[in-house]
Amino acid sequence: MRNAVYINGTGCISAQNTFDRNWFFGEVQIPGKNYLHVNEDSFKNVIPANQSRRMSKIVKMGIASAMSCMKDAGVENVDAIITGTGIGCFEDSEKFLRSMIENDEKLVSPATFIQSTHNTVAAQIALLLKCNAYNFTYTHFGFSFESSMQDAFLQIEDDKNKNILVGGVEEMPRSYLNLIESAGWLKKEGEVENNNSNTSQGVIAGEGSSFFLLSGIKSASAYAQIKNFKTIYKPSDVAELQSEIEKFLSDSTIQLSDIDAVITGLSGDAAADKKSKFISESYFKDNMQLSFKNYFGECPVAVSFALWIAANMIKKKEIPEVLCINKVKHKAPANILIFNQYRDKNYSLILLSAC
Amino acid sequence: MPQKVFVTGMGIISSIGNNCPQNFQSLIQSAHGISDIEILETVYRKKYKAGEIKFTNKQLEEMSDCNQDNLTRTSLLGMIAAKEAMFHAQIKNFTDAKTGFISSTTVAGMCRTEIMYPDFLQSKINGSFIKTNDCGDSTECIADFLGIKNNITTISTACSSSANAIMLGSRLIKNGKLNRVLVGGTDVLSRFTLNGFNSLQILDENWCKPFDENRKGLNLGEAAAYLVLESEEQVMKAEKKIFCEIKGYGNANDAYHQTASSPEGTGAFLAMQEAIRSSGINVAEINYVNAHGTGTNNNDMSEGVALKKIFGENIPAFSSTKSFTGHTLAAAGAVEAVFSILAITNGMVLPNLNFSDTISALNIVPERKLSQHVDVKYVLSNSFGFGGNCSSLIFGKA
Repeated sequence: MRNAVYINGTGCISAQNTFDRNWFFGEVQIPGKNYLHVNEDSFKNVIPANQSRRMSKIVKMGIASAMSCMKDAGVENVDAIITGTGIGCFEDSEKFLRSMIENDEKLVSPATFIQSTHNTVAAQIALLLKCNAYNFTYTHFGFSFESSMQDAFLQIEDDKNKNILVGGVEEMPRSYLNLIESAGWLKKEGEVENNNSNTSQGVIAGEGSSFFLLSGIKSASAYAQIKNFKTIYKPSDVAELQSEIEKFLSDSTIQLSDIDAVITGLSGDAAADKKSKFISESYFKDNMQLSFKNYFGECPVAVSFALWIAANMIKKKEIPEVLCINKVKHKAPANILIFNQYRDKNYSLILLSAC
Repeated sequence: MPQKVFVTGMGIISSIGNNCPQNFQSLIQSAHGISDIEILETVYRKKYKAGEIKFTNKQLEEMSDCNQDNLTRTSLLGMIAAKEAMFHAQIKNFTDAKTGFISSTTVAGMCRTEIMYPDFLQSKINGSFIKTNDCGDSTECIADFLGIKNNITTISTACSSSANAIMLGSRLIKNGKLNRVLVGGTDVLSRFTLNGFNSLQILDENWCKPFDENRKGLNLGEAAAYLVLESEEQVMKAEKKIFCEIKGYGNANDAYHQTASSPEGTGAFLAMQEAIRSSGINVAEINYVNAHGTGTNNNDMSEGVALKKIFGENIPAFSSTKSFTGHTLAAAGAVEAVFSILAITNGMVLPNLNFSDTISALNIVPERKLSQHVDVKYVLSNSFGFGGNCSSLIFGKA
C-alpha cells in the first residue's frame, strides 16, 4: 500500500471548458475535426499580457493551469514542481528547425531555441513563483504524467507536509499535427465520429494542461485520495494485462465490485484500443464505465485529464453522463479506477477514493 | 530503514573512449577527444570543434549488435553504454529483483528528425519519422534491447538530466520501491543543438577553457553513460563488486532566467548544499569536485561563486572534465558520474585541461595536472541546465 497522498487542488485547461470551475460537463464541445485545440481565450486574463506575449502556447497553458491549481488549493508556495510532457515544446523546436533549414544554418535567432527544452514549462513556473525548490520534468510518452506522480509520492513519503505541484502538459501545434496526420496516426476527415468499430483507425489529437496540488495532509478543500497507481509497459496480451489489473486491485485491497466507476483510455483507434476494449467488455462489464478521449483528445498526458474528471466526480458527487459508455449506473462514486493506455504500449492504472 | 545505494556497474561511450577502460586511459593520459567535426553534416565543420564519437551510425549499429529498425544515434549510443553497465554488474536475469530503467536525453530523436524534415516539408516523404522524435523513444529501444520490462521512464531537464536520473534511481532504491535500477543518459551531436548554442554565442571556436579568465564558451560533445544502482540488500545477496556508494544528492532551481545562471549562483549553491546535507558528511570531507564547468563566461563565474559559498576558503581539488569530452548535454551528469567514480576507485584527481589564468574576480584555481595515489573518499559532481535546473551528486568510497 502506498503512503496517503491527497489532491488538494486542481487546475485544468483543455478543449472543454474545464478551466471554469462551474462548468463540470455543462455544454460540451463536440469535435468536428481530427484534433481538438485549446481556446486561449478561456484563460486569457490569467497571465499579464507583457509576460504572455513572449510565451509559447504550452508555456501559457502550463502557467495558467498551475496558478489556478495553487489558488484552488490555497497555497502560495510549493515544495516541488514536477511536470510531465511527451512531446515537449514542439512548436518552438519546429520553428527553430525550420529557420535553420531555410537559412542554411545561418542567421538563426536564439529566441525559439531558448524555450525548446522539455523542462521549459516547469522552469517558467519556477521563475514566476521565484521558487528555488526541486524541479523535474518527465518525458516518456504515455508515462510522463504517471512518472511525475510517482516522484511526488516519493517526496511526500519522506515528508507528508510537503505541497507538490504536479502537472501533465501537452501542446498539439499545427506543425506536429501535420506530421502525425501524415504518419497515419489521426482519424481521416469524415471518419471523426467512428470511434467504436473494430476498424476505426486513428485518434483525435488533443492538448491541454492539468495540474494537481498533492500533499500528505488532507486540506479542507481536498478532492480525493490517490490510493494507488501502476504503469504497465507493452503487455504481450490481454491475459497479461488483466492479470496486472487483478494484482493491482489486490495490492490496493479493493474488490472489483467496489470500483464504482472505471474511466477508460479508449482512444478511437481500433488497434490501440483492442486490449482495453476486450477488458472493458469482459472484466469491467459490471462496472460503470466512462470514456473521455473523444471530448479531450489523445495525447501522451491525456491521463491527467482523466484524473481531473475523476477527482471532480468524487468531490462534486456528479457523473458526467455524456462520458458514460455502458448502462451500469452508480450514484455518487467513491472509488474510481482510471485505466488508461497510450498507443497500446504505455498502460496505467490509478485508483482514486473519496477521503 | 532506508536502503543504502551502491553502484555495481558502469558503462560509457564518449569521444575519449568506447567503454570504461578506454575512457580511463584517456583521462590518465590527458588525452581529450575534442576535434574537428567529421561525421555530423553541418556548415560549421570548419568553425567549431566538438567531442564527436568517430563512428557513423552504420558502424554504431554493428557495435551495438541490435537489429531494431530506425534506431536513432541517440538510441545506438545508449545501447552500447547500457550494455557495458549491465555486463559489469553481472546481471543474469531481471526477475531476481525489482528492476527499473531511468534514462534521459535532450536531443532525443531530433538528430533523425532534422535530417528527414526538409524532405517532409517538400512533401517527398511522409511524417512517420516522428515516431522516433520524442524523448521516450531511445529509452524504450534500450529497454526492449536489454529486456527490462517495467518501471521505465525518461527525464529531460536539459544539462542536468542524467544527474537527475541517478538521483531518482537512488531515491527509488532508498525508499524500497526498486532493488536495482539502470540510470543515466544519452545525447548526440546535432545541427539543432550546434545551431542553438551558436545562436546564443556561447561556443568556443577552439578548445574550451573551463574556469579560465579568457574562456570563450563551450565545446559540444556527444556521449552515453549508465550506472547500475543496487540496494545494499541486493548487493549482499549476490556478493557483488561495488564501485562506490551514492552518498547524497540535491536538486534546486535557480529561478533567475531561462538560460543564464544567477550571478549569486543560487541554484548551484542550493543543490550542493542539499547534496551535502543529505549525505550526512562534513563539507571538509569532500576530496574532489567534478564541476559542471562548461567554459562559458556565465556558468563558470556563477558556479565559482557558489563553490566559494559552500567551501569558503577551502575549496577542494576541482576540475571540469568537459575539457576532455565537451559538453555532452543530458549525458553529462552520467558521464561525469563515471569519471567521479573512476577517481574514487583509482585514487586520482582529474585535471582541468586548457587552464592558464585564474578568473580574476574569483581567484580559484582548478587542478592543472592529474594526481594519482590520492585517497579519494568523497566526490561532489555538479550538473546545471537550462531552465535553472541545478543538480549535485556525492559519490563515496564503499
